[in-house]
Amino acid sequence: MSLDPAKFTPMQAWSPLKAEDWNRDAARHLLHRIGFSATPDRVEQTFKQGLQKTLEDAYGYVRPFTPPESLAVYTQKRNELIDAQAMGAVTPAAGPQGKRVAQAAAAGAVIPPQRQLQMELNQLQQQTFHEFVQSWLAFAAKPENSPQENLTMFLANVLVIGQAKVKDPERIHNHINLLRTSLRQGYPSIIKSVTYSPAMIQYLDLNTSVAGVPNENYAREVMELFTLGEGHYTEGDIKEAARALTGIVVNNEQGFFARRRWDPSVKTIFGKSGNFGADDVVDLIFMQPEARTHLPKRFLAFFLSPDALPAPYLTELGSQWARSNFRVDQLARTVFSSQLFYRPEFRAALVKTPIQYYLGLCQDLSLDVSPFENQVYQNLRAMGQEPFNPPNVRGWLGGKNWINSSTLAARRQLVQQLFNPFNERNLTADLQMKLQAARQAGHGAINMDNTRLQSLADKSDEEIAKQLLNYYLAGEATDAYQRDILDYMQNDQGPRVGLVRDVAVALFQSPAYHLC
Amino acid sequence: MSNNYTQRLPTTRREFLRMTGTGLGLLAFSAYAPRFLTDAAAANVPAPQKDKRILVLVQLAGGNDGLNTVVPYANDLYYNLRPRLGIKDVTTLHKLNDSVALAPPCGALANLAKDGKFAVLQNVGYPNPNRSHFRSSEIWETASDADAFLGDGWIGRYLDNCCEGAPADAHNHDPAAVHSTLTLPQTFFAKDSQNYFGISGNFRSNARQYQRKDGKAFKPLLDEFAEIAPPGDTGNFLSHTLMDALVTEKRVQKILDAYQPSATYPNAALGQSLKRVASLIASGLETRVYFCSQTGYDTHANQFNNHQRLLGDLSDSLAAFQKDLEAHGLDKQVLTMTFSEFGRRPYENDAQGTDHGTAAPLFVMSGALKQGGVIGEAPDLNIPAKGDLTYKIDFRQVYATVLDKWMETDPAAVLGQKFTELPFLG
Repeated sequence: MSLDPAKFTPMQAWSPLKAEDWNRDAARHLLHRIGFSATPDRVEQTFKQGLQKTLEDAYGYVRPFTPPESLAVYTQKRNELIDAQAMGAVTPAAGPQGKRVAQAAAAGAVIPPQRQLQMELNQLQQQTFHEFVQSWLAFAAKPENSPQENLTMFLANVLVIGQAKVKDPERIHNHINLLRTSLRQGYPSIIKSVTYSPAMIQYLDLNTSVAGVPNENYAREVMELFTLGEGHYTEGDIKEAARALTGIVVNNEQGFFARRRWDPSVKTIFGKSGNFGADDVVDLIFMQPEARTHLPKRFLAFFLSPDALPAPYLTELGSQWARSNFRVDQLARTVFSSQLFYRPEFRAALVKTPIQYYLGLCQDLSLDVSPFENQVYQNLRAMGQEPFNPPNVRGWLGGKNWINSSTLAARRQLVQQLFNPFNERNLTADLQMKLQAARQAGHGAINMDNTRLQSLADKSDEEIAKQLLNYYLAGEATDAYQRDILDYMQNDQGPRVGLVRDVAVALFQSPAYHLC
Repeated sequence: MSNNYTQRLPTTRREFLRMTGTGLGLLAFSAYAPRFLTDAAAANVPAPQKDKRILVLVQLAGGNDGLNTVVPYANDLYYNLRPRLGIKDVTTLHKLNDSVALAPPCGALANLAKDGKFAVLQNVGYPNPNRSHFRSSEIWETASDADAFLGDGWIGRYLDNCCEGAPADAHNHDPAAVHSTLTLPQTFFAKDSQNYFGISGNFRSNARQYQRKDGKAFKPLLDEFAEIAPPGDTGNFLSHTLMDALVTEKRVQKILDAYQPSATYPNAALGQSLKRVASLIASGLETRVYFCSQTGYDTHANQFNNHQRLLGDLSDSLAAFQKDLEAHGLDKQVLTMTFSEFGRRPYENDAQGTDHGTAAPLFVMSGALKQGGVIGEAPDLNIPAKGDLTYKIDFRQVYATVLDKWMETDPAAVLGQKFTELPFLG
């Protein structure tokens, strides 16, 4: 890191970029980081409208996400089951059943009614979740929504919940939507809301935390992962905070404070004593100095650089953030407007997340998110990122952790898929129906057939190389790429459109394209 | 596989060194140069360690029903708990001793047990069992206490540990570990960037990318692009990880294509995975850990036929693998071990299945076992109504034994505490 706080002061670092430094390259860098791609038309538009207008468009207001209709169908069915259980008609089944019960039923086994209901619900649960992910991806793929969704994904990777444990797709949607609609709020108030988010209550076991037997899971993560970081609290603080956080349960899909489950006695947290409750814990946390720098640190790791900045920069950013009442959108605006953000060493230096990689490809190639939700989900899983299902409460570690031989193989496979037109007649009836439905709903192409490559193939070799390299790579393309492409175009044989396809496939699989 | 490209691209260290003339390209100055290149250059191409031991992990995903796998046929309580699922015809069972027998489809494993090459460890589990697939798998794969959360897996920690301060000839040139699952198993999660390789579907279809329909020579542009490292540490890392993957991929493809197994493997996924693992081991790869997975054990309903079919696949796949290794003289060098996130409830449910439980038997197989057969008592079925089995062996005792006696590393350094070891290895 060449940054020296003595030469480039923290005040200077976070002050707005000078007008003369705003150019097309800067706009490209910004677009790659706030969203998933920087197509030439949007670079041009962004450059012309300027930095502030771009950030206002990105974070100025909520762009509502409408979940798929299947989510409402799921919710209704779930509520029917809950009602039936409440009326004593059926007892809750012991565990998930899914496919195997279906197979058993198909094989003629008699399945008791409560298992039947639970089975239907479980099957619907997984499928509805995949459809929810698919429709979220389609929403996030619209360039105007991308910055909001990318910032939401950042926050969801701090305030983590996981589908493997939460399972209920409506709860997952509600949690993510809470984050999405809270981006313009202060972080303390977001934490207070998240404490009552049913997905979180379930994920970190708040619902099992009762006076007398507090569960420390949430109290620990709220300090270690959400707000302060390891080493900035004591085990005693956690134990006491866990008592203050008792009494929260899920009632009718809402977080609910059950006073009788709450421990009303005096707790001592960070040296202060009182009969604290959940909100008090959050207020006490935000009096700690580390609360000013923890989220900014996570933010910079996600949006700026895998290497930590020298401490004075972080301290200054933290102070500015605190002065904005800890608003998440303000943190984003400060960083993305700053002189520091646009320094050359921060350009094209981050590994794209699998979701960024996938949606970036869709945007770069003007493709729609595939309507085959299970396949999309498998692609992302193979690349190491099942949406809304990180491996544990730490979230995805990001950076180099995204990259190993298996995930690279999966990224390459995805590009192959996007560039290999499939024979529609070979699809199952189910997939044909999905494709038809997507077309009727006005969806565009989902892969690159020859027609889409033809206009590029009609150009000269030099133009092809220039266009591919300048349009799609976040960093500056070196001459080596140009040489390799020209060699390939000139030495290999076959239809020209096929050569262009080969070149494009290799470029999107190349190391440079994984960076943003 | 005889196009110009395969000829041109190095698939072994020796080829690579020969082709690059001096043996050291510019890449070697980078922290992320392909391992086979830097290590080979530094160590002047050491011969692979011929006597190194290999661990093959087989995950039985979904929670295997222990009581219908290792059947306590002499205990009436078993039949009381399982009026419909209990295996009543004792003549179909393969007796291991006076109290337990392997399920009907596991004859091949019973034969291995007679020869001392197969052992059943009874009642393996952990204190305060968790019955969530997700969480209990995490506990097994990270080897944590039930109330602790570790980010890295036990094999990942082993690799992080054993490479710290290791002598120069202990470097791994080939992948440190190979998995046949689609994604990296949590068992492999590591703090350091380990050299892993996956042999699942994506790898196969990517390998096909290099074959054109017309069979013409095809110079893959990606190999050229991979060598252009974008500026900066991360760019460098990406470039060299991709080069590593491309070289390993072609090499592995060659090995898989050329392999002639000395046993017939079942067509089911596990058999095919183990066949690939056998081919890689036989090829002399320096990889020390392999991970395979068999899915479908979450048998909540109509369990009997499904479960017995899975056990048949498991038994036949493991036996074929062992036979194949024996034919290659490798059976004493390889230890195979199964694990599952939990066993199932001792009593059957009302859908002719079983729900998530706790302790269960675990299998180990090798030509080098010190003790085969059954280790530990049959499960205690004298339990209250709707009760569950109690573990007798902590699964980390098994890991500790493997780490100490097989991988020859300090188990406490990997597991964070000491565990009493078991007698199946000497």
